[in-house]
Amino acid sequence: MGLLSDPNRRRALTNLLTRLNTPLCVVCYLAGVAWFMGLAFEPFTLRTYMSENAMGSTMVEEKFGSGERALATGREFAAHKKKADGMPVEWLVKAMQSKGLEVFTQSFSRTLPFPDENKERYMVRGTNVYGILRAPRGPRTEALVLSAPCSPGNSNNQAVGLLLGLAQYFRGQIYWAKDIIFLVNEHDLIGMQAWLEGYHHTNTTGMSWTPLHGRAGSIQSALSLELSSDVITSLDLVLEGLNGQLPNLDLANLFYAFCQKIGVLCTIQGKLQRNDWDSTSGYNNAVQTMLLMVLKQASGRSWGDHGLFLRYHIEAATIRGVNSFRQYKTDATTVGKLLEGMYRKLNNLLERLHQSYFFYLLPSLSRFVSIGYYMPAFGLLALILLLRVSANTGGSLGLVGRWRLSADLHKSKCKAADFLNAQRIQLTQAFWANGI
Amino acid sequence: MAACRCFLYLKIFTLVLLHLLPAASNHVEAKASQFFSSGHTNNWAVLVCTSRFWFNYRHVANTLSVYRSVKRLGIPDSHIVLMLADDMACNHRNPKPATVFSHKNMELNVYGDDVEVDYRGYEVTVENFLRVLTGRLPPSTPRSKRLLSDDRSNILIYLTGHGGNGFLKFQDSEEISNVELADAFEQMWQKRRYNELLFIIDTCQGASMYERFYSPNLMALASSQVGEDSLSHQPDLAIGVHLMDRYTFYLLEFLEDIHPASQANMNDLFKVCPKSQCVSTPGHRTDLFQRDPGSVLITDFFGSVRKVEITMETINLTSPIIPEEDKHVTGGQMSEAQSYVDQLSVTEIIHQKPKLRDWHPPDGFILGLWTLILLVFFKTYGIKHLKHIF
Repeated sequence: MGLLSDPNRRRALTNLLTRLNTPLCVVCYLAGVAWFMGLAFEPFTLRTYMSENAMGSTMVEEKFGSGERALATGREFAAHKKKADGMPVEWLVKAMQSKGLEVFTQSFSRTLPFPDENKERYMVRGTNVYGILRAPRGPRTEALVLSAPCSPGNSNNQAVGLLLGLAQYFRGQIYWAKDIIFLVNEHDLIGMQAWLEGYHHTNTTGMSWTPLHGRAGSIQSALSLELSSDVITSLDLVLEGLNGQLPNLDLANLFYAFCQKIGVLCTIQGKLQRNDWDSTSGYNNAVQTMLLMVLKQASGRSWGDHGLFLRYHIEAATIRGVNSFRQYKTDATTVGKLLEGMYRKLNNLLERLHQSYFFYLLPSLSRFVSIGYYMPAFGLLALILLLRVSANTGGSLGLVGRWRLSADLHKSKCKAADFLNAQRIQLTQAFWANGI
Repeated sequence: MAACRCFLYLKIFTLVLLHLLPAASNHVEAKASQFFSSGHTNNWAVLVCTSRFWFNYRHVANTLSVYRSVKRLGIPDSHIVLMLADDMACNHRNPKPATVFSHKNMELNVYGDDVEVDYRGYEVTVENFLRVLTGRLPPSTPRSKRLLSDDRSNILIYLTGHGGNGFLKFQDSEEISNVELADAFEQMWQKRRYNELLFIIDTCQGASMYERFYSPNLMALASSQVGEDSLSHQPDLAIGVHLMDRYTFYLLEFLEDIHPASQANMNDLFKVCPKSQCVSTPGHRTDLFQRDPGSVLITDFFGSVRKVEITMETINLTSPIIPEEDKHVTGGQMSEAQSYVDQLSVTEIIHQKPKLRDWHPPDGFILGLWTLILLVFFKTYGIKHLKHIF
């Protein structure tokens, strides 16, 4: 007879569970935590690889060269932004039109549910400006998005400048098979949400926005650029989106592959990859990176403008330039080359990114842990709950044993015990009926 | 006296000439026999690329480079069936539109100015391929899409794409198996659609595709053995894809050295792309082929050679008109050359017993037999039983 159908064995199992309940819980807890910590240990992780055949390797020639001109455009943008005290809409429209894009604007407004600390405003108003670069020979069925936020003050000017520089460069190439949308959004996430809602004709947040007059087809992938200094020392990749959603791992693989090809320092969670995985500090680095990713996902907020794309099944990531005063500096031309390479490879896509993992943890940019590996750790932690439940009800498996035991107890003179046991029997029967 | 001597000299001269003539005509006969030795009179080529999508650029480049060689060596477009499953030259992602390159740095544009694609895009399917081979096409099919070969045609068939052990993938949605291919070739043989056939395949595990052939006069080459992958050659960074597969790259380099009068034979073709260059091991199969591969010229399959020999002597070919005694008079050795009109029966080409047809009795035999049975019956039992019949 089987383990659960043989009453003797079932009774033995139930006794084991009830007797060893607390030790088993402790063991499960420790095993779960140890498993999770062990995931960051490099021999237990897998090296990242490109799963999408169409993207292939990084064998393209990047020819972008006008980084300085892009920075000059960024300075112009900064000046106009200060003058307009917000988004310089007319200047942006004119700049994009001079590059040869089809330019459209969208204005939106949102009533905040809480007052703003600085100005006691309840209403946020803004404008998004976006220009569409049409594929010279392609049908207008698919699109890629490059966006830069228009932030108040002195941040992200270089991002908008680089965006315009890339727009001008891309306009001169004939190998685009998808339309490219260059988007400058105001008020970060609010503007991005308004644009996405307008693009996809949904209204989930109750914002009011003007409808979009120009459209480019379904968006395959998006990158958000945040660049606040003329020279940078490293590029940080931000993947976590709204509600902890992550883009397809192939996007991170693509970024890392181009980082290696061009020779830019790339970080994730702000941490550089280390080669000494067998030393304590190296392992600590990996664990911290992984745990930071878990915490960021757990917070539920979107850690970059890209996070809102993920809900529409558009793979998106944010690339943030960091200037941390190291020796080796990268200029805007190199960043432009990296973006050009990435977009050229995304251009080769025939379907949405779906070949690689959607659920993963990254202890570093070149190593990943898929859900198949980290889920057992959580499974062990969830097992503790099951064990506690089974201990509290006395074990639904011991139905027959309980009957006999209660029958024996019934013969005893203790009424209170009888009552308690009768309750236990009823509870057990109820659980058994529910099929636990 | 002078006349007598003259006559004597004339006799001697005639005798000498008569002895020399067989020798001279022997040499010419030998050349004439070589003239007809390969047995084919026209060449066809069926070149198929089975994969689509931009990253399979190299398969289209493979097929176009073989097309280019075949055309350069003399096979005209009307005798080439070119099937390309996707359009790389006009793909949106091609930074150099209207070109397909086979060498990096854009050295060689195999698309050219006068390429003629017969089956393009979604028309390249397993069904269409098999119909082209066997000739079972609907009557409305244009001439350029048909393989109008006869039993004196040498056909070159080149396939490239993604394949596996025993199959070749068409268009990412269907496959052709090696058994189907072998059966198609057997259909071609039985319908007398080829004289000799050279089959080249450049895919992963390509050797599995010719394992099942069982028809005569087939020679096959593959770029890799079962269990091996065929690798691509070199990427071009400006275009962003791999341009050619290794085997076809070295095959193209080999064919660039072949000119229409070249005497290179099949043994040279088997040596193309050894393992050191190709990483995979190319294979070939010649057991079904009648002639020795060393005597088969490359141009027998890749080129369309018009053989013309100018000769000053007269050659007596075997003709049904010449009576027997004339042959004895000339005394020369006649070659066994067949004329174009006489078709050899299959049993003489390959040593095979002729297929037995079902035997039917002579006409009217059954009717006579029944009449006999009835007459005997009525004779024995009397005529009065006749009323039971009628």
